[in-house]
Amino acid sequence: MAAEVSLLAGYDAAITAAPTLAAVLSAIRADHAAHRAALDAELARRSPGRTAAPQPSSGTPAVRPPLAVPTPSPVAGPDAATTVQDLTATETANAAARSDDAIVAAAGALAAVLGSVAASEAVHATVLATVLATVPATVPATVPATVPGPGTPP
Amino acid sequence: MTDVDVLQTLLATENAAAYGYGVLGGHLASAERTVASQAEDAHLARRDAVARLVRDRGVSPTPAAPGYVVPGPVADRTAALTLASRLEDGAAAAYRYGLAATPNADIRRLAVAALQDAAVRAVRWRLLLAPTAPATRPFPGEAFPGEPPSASPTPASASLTSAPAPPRS
Repeated sequence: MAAEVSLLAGYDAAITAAPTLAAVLSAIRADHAAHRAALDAELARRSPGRTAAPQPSSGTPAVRPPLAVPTPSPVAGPDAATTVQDLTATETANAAARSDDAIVAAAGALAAVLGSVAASEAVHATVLATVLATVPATVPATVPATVPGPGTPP
Repeated sequence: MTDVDVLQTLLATENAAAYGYGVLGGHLASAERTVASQAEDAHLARRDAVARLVRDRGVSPTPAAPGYVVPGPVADRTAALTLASRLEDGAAAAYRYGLAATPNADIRRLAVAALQDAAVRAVRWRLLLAPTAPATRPFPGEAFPGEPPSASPTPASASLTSAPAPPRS
């Protein structure tokens, strides 16, 4: 659950940082919102004291924008590339973690949800890798650890 | 439902998926055919892995049917891509079912990996079919609103086996 909350925040930040990729990032974010709701509901079902957040069930995902792989755009620059790289790595790591969770889940229904979440995240990593290929590769190979301040001699 | 029952269901799904790829390959562009061939190989490899788990339990794997009926005619590229995505959605549904149906770690490990692979292939086919349509699904293996239920080819009687050859072994 914490991973989904973290990813939602990550996509919010990414959409702000890379508005030209907003369509694809928003579609993936919607998937994560559905994951969060489904996991919350599943956990609430198993813990009577817990209340599920009133969000769409896993079978009724929120309306999402089309997931079109964007065409190269000069507006999506180095920050966009780095952002997408970071999200790809996070999705890949989360897919592995949710896979492990699915294998050991006590309840079959929870295992199924976790397996689907893992698969969705693996798909996201694939889609983001495709997106990354469309972002101009202008990220410097190395970034200076410190930036000289005003008046600093070269 | 025993673990063997679950595994035999997964085995039937893989046999059907591999057969389906044999049907659709001829209608794809060259590069797409290569991808389809790789997908077919992946399903055959998974079929063999499932069959090993069946044999490990002292049971003979159920052989593939002599022929299958695919869900709808496949006469052009669009139909072939549609079938490919539905084959993968069907495989994803089967493996999601497998995760729910048994607590066995070996079966779940196989199922969760296969579910991911099928979901990734499904989205690649969907992007080829409609690059601007929503391609990801929040819960691969679960029915998605507005789409027909995922489907695998169903076994046909011997009289219906004039369709393309069964999957490579």
